[in-house]
Amino acid sequence: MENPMQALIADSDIYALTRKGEAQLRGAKTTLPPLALELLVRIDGKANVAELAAGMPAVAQNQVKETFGTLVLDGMIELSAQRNDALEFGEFSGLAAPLAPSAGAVTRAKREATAGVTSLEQQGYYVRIARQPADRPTLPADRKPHAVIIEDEPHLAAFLKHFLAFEGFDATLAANRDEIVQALRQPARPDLILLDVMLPDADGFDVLMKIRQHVALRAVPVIMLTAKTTREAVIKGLAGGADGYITKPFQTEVLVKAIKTMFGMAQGADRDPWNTHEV
Amino acid sequence: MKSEDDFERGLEAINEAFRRALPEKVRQVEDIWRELQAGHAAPGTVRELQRALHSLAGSGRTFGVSGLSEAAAAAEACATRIESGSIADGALRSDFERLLENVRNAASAP
Repeated sequence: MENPMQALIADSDIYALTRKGEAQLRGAKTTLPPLALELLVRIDGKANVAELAAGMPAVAQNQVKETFGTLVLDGMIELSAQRNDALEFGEFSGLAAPLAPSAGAVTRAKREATAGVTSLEQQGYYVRIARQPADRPTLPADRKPHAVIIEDEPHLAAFLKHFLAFEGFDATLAANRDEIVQALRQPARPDLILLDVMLPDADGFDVLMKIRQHVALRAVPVIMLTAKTTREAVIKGLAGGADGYITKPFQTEVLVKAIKTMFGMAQGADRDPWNTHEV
Repeated sequence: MKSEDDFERGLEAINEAFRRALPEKVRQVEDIWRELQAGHAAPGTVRELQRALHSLAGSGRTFGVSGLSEAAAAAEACATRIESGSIADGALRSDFERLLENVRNAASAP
């Protein structure tokens, strides 16, 4: 059976042993398979996944990643703080301790992704709002809500900005790494981030992880807006902390409904409880 | 706050701009494909091809260009096979040519 964590393990990830992992490694007995044990020996909080995989004799990449995933799920390893250095958003200050998706988050994301792919096959697009009710954002009363749209297709970006403006948002566009850093470093915290995955010089999943690690930005709702429609991509987005995943091409009313639901602005037939929103 | 009319006019303007830019976007895909076929493409060129198609796949239907998203998504999937296979694979090349033709047709449809 496929390990859902495999899709979450990036070559550039740097992992360190948890206490449980240390105990497993130093214990008198272990039930771990040889490859998992070998990785526990080698994981040092410095080398990334690709480097460790390259040093493993005659083992397939996907097998190494699957084992990494299993070790994360079993709580033996966790993303190391050094990952922050490995990523290239050096100017992106205010990082908190890095987060790894919990086993529960991965299970939920996997279930949602399965439903999503079915929906995608039937309807051509899929939306899931995964945020829990307690985390529902409230719109500030004294100013327009501010959205950051991270999208490199200029017409689509303009289209989204136009739609959000009509819905009462101020929107800032960012199409590449520098613009993302600039937009997210503004003093006013955004109230919403729409995030494309495939960007010219950045990976949306990495951006999502940086946002979720950032002290000031970690609670900002993020909707992944992407043409990456594979089950693995949906799992990766939701388990990585995205509040919603909308596949492109999308219908605008679907996006607007999702945003309104996220902000508790939906009325009548548009009203939809948190965590059950699937359009 | 903009009126409904302003909003609709703005939307129409963006739609028109997208349609005007479409031939250039398709030409860009064709240029990258030619570069790849010539055999001296820079590393990362297949990725560039995938990205250009991915962008069309993600936007076509939103702008009401019928069939473009589907055609571009199919070509993007084929480009992914090219990345893991070989550009010298004749069957793969003709598959891609056929899919690219579908993208051209969808993009130029009224």
